[in-house]
Amino acid sequence: MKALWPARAILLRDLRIALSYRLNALLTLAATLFGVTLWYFLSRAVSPTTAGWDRGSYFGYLVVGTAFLGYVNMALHTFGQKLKQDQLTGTLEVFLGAPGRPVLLVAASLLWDLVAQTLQVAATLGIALLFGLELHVGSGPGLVLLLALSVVAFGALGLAASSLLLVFKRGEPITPFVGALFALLGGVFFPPAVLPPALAALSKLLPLPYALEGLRGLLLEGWTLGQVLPDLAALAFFCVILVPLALVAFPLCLRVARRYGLLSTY
Amino acid sequence: MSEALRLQDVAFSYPAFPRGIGWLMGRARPAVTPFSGITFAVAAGERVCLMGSNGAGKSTLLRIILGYLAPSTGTSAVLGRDSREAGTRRLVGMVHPDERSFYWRLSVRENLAFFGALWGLSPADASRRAAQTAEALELTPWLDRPFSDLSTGTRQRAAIARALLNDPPVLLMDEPTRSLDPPSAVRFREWLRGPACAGKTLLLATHNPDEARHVADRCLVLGGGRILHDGPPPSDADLPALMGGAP
Repeated sequence: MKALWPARAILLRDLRIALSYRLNALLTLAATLFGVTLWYFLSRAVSPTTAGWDRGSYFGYLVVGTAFLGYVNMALHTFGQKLKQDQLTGTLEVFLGAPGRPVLLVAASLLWDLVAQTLQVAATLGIALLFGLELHVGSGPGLVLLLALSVVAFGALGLAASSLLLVFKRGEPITPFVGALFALLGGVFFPPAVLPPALAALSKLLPLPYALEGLRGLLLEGWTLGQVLPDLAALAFFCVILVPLALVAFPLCLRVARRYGLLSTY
Repeated sequence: MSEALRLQDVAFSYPAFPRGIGWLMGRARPAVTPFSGITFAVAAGERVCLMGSNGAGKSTLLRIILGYLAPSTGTSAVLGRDSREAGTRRLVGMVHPDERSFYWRLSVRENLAFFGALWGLSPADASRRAAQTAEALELTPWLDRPFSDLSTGTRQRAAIARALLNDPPVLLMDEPTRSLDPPSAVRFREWLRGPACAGKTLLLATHNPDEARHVADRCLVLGGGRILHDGPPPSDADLPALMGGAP
């Protein structure tokens, strides 16, 4: 229990700071509404077969894809944004100087964003239901497992990428690059099968297509746990690769930043 | 009397950036060695000030004691525990020179509770200690105000309150009155002499000889990469000669 006190404090800190920017929450909700409206009319203008999707409505395909892309972007960007913010406000050295393991303190910075993103996804699906989205929710445990593995995999990737910020200060282009790559190859707006064969093959090396395939199956086609198992296995594989990478990269970059006296500079 | 701090033959160098890394960072930096062969001990309950010109390495020395930086050679220990052990940080409270190091959107109480939890206090203890330290430093009227509303002097008191949250036996302060006006600086020194800091071992980096005389019983002057003076706080007249260099 004691080990969770810092994580609880970090979650409360971020919640309180978020609540102090109320206009931001309202604008995010408005942007969600505009986004769903855009996907609705786009899906009416584009035939599902043209988009390469013949397993249901293209509107559902887009809504699930873009909502989940929000999770991916959150996991990729949050660490970098928090580290940058703490560098600028001067809290980074105090924060990382706390007695706990720095990598766990930074990992806990994801908690509030995870909650906020889940609320946003709920809002997206709620608005999409008003536009006529038909959900056929399958295995609940499968959904929880898929989301958990996805957040761990993408969070680990984000943490590894943001580690460079500790040393190079402005490594942000890395995460937008990865985010754009995921949007292109990950099956967010169209199935990777419509891409040229080389790019379609490349997409198989990314975790996002597996996450989206499983999520669409679970939310739109009522998949069972057995049906989603191949995607869960693929995501677990990415976790096995990416989590150790993050656990090595962050302490290594922190040690370099401390050795070169870079922690309090920006 | 037992030792609260011991630095034994401590040297520190900021290494030069490797060529490729320096290019990626957009700047080259040669190796910098602020000091070497630093040895001193501070007894429990002693109040010591650390003086020296800009760049002498005062802040670096404090960061080594705190465990933020590892010495290139030598050892630093707090109450017999190596500074590099993460648990040693619970023994040391640090007042940073920059009062920005708080979350400005949060109240003083929320900030103190947050940092208390980071230092391992339970939510109930963090809340109780926040109220206690705030009372001891006469911060209670500001407890529920956003940090951004505080004056510079009040922010520095909040920084002391944060350093005292887990009741550490050792306090390190890095130029805590740097941005305070003279009356606020005088008040600040009174806090350091008051009950809130009673019994603590204090190591305070300062440029101000008047502050050194008011707060400390002993003064270390750092210059030219070594300790030039270890004794009573110097007078204004003696300081330039002391800081001017070695014999």
